[in-house]
Amino acid sequence: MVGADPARARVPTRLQQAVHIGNYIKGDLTVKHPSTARSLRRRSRRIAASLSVFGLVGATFGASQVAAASSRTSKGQDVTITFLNVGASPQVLAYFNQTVIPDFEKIHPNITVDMSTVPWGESFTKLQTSVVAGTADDVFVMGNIMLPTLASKHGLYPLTKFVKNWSVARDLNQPALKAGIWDGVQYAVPFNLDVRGVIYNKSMFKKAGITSPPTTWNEYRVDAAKLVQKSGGQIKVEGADWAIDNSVGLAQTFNLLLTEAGGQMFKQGPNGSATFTGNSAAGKKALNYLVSFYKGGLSSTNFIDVGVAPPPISLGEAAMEINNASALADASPSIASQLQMTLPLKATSTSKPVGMEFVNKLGIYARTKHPNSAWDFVSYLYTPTVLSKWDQLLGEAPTETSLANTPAWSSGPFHAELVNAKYAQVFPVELQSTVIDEDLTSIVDAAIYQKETVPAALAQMTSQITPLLKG
Amino acid sequence: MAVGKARGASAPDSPGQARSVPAVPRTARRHVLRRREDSRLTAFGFVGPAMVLLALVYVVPTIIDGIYSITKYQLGGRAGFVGGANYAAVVHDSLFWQSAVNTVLFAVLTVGLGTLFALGAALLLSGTFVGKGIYRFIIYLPQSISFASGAVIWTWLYNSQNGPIDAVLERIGINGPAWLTDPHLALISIVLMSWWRDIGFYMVVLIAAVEGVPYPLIEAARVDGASRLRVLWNVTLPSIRPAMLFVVLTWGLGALQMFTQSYIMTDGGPVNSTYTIVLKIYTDAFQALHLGYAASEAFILLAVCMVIGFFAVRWFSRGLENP
Repeated sequence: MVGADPARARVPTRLQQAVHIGNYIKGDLTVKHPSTARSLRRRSRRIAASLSVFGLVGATFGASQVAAASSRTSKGQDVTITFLNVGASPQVLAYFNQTVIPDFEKIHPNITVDMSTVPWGESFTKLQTSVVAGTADDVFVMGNIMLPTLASKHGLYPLTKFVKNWSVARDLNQPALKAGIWDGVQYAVPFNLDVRGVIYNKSMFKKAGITSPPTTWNEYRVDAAKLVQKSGGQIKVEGADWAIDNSVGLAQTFNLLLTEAGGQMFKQGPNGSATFTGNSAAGKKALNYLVSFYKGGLSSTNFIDVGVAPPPISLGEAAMEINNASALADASPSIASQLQMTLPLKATSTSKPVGMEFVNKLGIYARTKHPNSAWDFVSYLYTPTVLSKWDQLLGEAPTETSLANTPAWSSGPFHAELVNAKYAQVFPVELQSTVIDEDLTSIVDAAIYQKETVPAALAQMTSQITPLLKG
Repeated sequence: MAVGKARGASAPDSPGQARSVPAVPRTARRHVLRRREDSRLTAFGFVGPAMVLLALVYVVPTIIDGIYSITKYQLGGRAGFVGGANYAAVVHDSLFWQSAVNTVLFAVLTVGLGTLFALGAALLLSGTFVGKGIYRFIIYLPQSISFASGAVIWTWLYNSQNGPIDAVLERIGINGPAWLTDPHLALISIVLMSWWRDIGFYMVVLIAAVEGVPYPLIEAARVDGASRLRVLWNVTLPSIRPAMLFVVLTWGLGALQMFTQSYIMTDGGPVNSTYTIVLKIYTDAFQALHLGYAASEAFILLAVCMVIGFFAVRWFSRGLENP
C-alpha cells in the first residue's frame, strides 16, 4: 500500500533514509517501501555479519602476529629474553640497568634482556601462576623454597647439560649447588647464600653499657631488656626485632630457633616422604623463647618489615635483629656505620652456634623459546665482578668460593656473611613449603600476639602441616 | 486457542481450506513472518557480539568455577571429581569462617555508616552556597586514585613508627594507636581508608538524586507546615530510594568482595583479623594452588552475593510502583 508510491521509493532524501534507518532499528517496518526495507535489512545483516567477521579477523590477526613474532625470534635473530629479578632493591635494579645488562648486550648483540622485579612476598604467587599459565619469564630468581614446587610443575628447564660443561660449577659452594637439584636433575644454580647471624647497633650497645655482643639465647634476651627504649608505655626502639613481615619471615625465624634448640622441622622418610617434627621439646623451647620477647615487652608487633622499606634495625628502630647483611646494605650510611654482624646464637653456653642459610638461585623457564640465550645470560651473571657486586648490594654471601679471598669479602662489613656460612644449615625445603610457610607464619603470629598458647600453637602446626606433607 | 485454530485453518497442509484462502494474503502473511524473523536476526546481530562477550567473560567462567568446585584440582595438575567434598571442607575451615565474619563486618561498617555519611554530604552539598563545587571536588578527589595506590599511601599514613598520623598525635600528647598492627583496630583502619576512597563517588550519585526531587513536592510539604526533618524523612528520602538502592547494592556487593586493601595493607593480618573471603580465595587458589577448593569458596560467595542482591532489590523496590 505504502509501497505503491514509487516516486518516494525512487528518490529518498537523506532525511527520509535516516528516518527509515531509525524506524528500522526500532523494528517499525510498516512505513517503508519494501525495496528500501530490503536494502536496509541487507545493510543491517551486513553490519551484523561484519561485526562477527571483524571479531574473527581480529582474533586471527592477533594470533598471526604472535605466530610471526615467535617465528622471527625462533630463527635466532634479535632475541629478547625476560628476566624476573625477584626482591631487587633500587640499587640492584640500577646496577643491572646501567651496568650488567648493557655489558651483556655488548657481548651478545643479538640478545636483549628485559628485566622486571617483584617483592619477595609476591614472588611465590607470581612464579607459580606464571609457570602454570605459560607466561613465566625466561630467567628468574628463585627463593630457597620455590624449587620443588616449580620443578614438580614442570616449570624449570633442566640445566644438567649446561652445568656439566660449566667451569664455574667447580668453584661454586657445593652444598648450595646441590640445593638446585630436584629429583636427580639440576634445575637451578645458586647465586647467593642468605646467611643469618646477629646484627647489632654498636652505639646503642655503648649507650646501654654493653661491652660485647650476645652469644647465647639468654644473653640475647638480657641485652634486649637493657636496650629496649620506651616512651609513654610504647616501645620506640625494640630491644630485639624478629622480622615480622607481610610474608613468611616469622616462619623462617621459628625454623631458625627450632634448629638452634636442636630440633628440626621435618623428618625425611622413604620415597621423598616427610613428617612434621616441629611439635617437639625443641619446638616448645623455641616458640616459648620467641613469645617471651613479646610478653616481656622487649619486642613489639608494631614493627613490621613491609618488604619495600628497610627492616627496623636498618632504620634505627631496633637494637638487635637476627638477619643477613642486607640490613647493613639497606641502612642509611650513618646507621650502617653503627651496625655490626656477628655469629649466630647458641641455645646454651655449651652448645655450638647454629645458623641458617637460604640458598637463592637462578632458574630458566621450562618453556622458554631461547634456552641457550637464557643460559648465556645466567652464566654471564657469574662473572666474578658481577656476582660479587650483586651479592654485596643484596648483603648476601656469594656462592663462588674464590670470591672469599677478594678484598670485598675477605674483610669489611660483609665478611661476617661468609664466616657465618660455616655455622649455617640449609633451610629445610619440602614440596609444599610455600604453603607450609604461610600456615606456619599465621600460627606463630597468633602465638606472639598471645591469641594462642604455645602448646596450642604447636598442636595447630601438627594438625595443619601434617596433611600438607601428605600432598 | 482461537488464534491457534485460525492459524491451523490457514495452514498450507489443509488443502480444502487453503483453496478458500486468497493467495495474496497468504504471501503477505509469509512476508510478515519472514520480516519478523529477519527483525529478530538483525536484533541478534546487534546484541549478539555483546552477548557472546558477556557469556565468555561472566557465564563461562561461572560454569567452569562450578565444575572446578566439585573437583580436587591443583593448579598445574589434573582435576579429579570429589563431589561435595570441597564444600564440606569449607564448612570446617575455621579461617574461612573468620574471613566471612571479617568480610560481613567490613561490609556492614563500610556501607552502613558510609551510606549515611555519603547521604549527609549529599544533603549538605546539594544546596546553593559559595564554594560548593570545591567541597564536592575535594570529597570526590580520592575516587581518582586507585585502591592499590590508596592502600600504599594509607599504609604509610598509618605506620605507627614513622607515619604522619601518629606523629601529629604525639605532638599533641596522645600516644597514637597501632592502626594496622593491633588486631582490634586493623579492620576499622581499613574501613576508614575505604570511606576516604569511596564516599565521594556515592555522594555524587546521591547529590544527583537529591537535586532531582521535584521541588513542588517539597514546597507543598513546607506550605503544609512540615519541618525540614519531616521533609527529609517523608519527601526526600522516599524520592531518592532508587538511588539509595544503587548505592547500597553496588557498594555492598563491592565490600563483600574486598581484597586490595587487605592484601596490600595487612596481608590479612594481624592474627587474620583482616582476612577477607576474597583474600582467602586468592591465597587458596594462587598460593596454595588448590583451585578446586578455592572455586567452592568462590561459589559460596557468589550465592551469598546473589541472595543479598535479590533481597536488597526487593526491599528497596517496595512501593516504588505506587509511591
